[in-house]
Amino acid sequence: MIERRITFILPQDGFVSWKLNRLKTLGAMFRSVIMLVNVTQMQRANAEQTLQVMALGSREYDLCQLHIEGSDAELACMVMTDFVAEQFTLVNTAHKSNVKTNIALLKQLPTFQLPYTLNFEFKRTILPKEKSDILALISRMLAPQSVVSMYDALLEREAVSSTAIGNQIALPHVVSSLVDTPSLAVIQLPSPLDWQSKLGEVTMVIALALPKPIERPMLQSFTCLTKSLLNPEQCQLLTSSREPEAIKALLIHRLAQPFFPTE
Amino acid sequence: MRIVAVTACPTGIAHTYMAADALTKAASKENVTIKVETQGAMGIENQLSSQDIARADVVLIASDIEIEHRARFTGSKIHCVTIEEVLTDVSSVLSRCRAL
Repeated sequence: MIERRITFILPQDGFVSWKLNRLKTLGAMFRSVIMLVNVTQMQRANAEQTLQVMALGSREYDLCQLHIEGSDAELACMVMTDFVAEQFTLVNTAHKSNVKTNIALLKQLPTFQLPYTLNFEFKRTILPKEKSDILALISRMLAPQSVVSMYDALLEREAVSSTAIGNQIALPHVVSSLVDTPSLAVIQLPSPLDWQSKLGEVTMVIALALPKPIERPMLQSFTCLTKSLLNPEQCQLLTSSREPEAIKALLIHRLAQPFFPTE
Repeated sequence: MRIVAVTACPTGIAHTYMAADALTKAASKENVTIKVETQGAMGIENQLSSQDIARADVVLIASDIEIEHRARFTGSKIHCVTIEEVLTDVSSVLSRCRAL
């Protein structure tokens, strides 16, 4: 089954009914099932069930995704991409017109706005690797100037207890003067890898490095992200994502959430 | 049932708070009153008072390292678990507390 995703931000009027009707009409042209996921609130509804979608309680700046699944998902994605780009703020799409989208341009929106500079790195490995290879790769991504010290710090942490957190995700993390900006390095693996934990193998490694001393906003931000990973649905959204930009959007949004206007 | 808990991990930026969150959520589902002290990168937060400790039926320590101020729990029923146990199966951790 083909699955395509579109990531976007809600405008001030959220999901007004006429947009939902358009979405439903467009959706009815395809055989694919179209799910609407409000990532911010971690709720989902079938896009054809207008009432269900309205019950999501969506607000301005919420991060949302369309999950299009079916034999004609590619085509549906193309059509939906145009619709989303017109009516919402497009963040990322699985469709080829992707070149237009870029999170960096949207970082002033509350959805992604952080009160500090973040260093974000993403890699997808092609060949299966060992845990130590992955930690070495992470060290290079987090601290290119002091790879060996970073590797030792990560290894030391793993020696105390494995950083696998279940739902196919591992979360190596350090607080260290080896970095001077908060850094996030994400690796997507081609196949499940043994992370020496009872919580199972991992397919995605999300590594965090925070500079010393930690400031409260940073801690708030990073614990919001790590707490969100207790939710299996959040983990599944990440591990099943195909586009690096979509993964980046999901992660940065969680980091920004403590600073998100609540009303 | 009343539980007081302490969570801690070596780095104190992730697991401490994840375990605290997991315990609080599971406890409210199972009608257990819980107060969780976190010993993380920001120091001790939501600190347990001597009254909290005196009233609690069980002290739960979820940590991969030696926690701070352990002496205050002397005389209480203490149950120690690893962070991994909390993240794997939080409800069995709570039911073990209940069985003590």
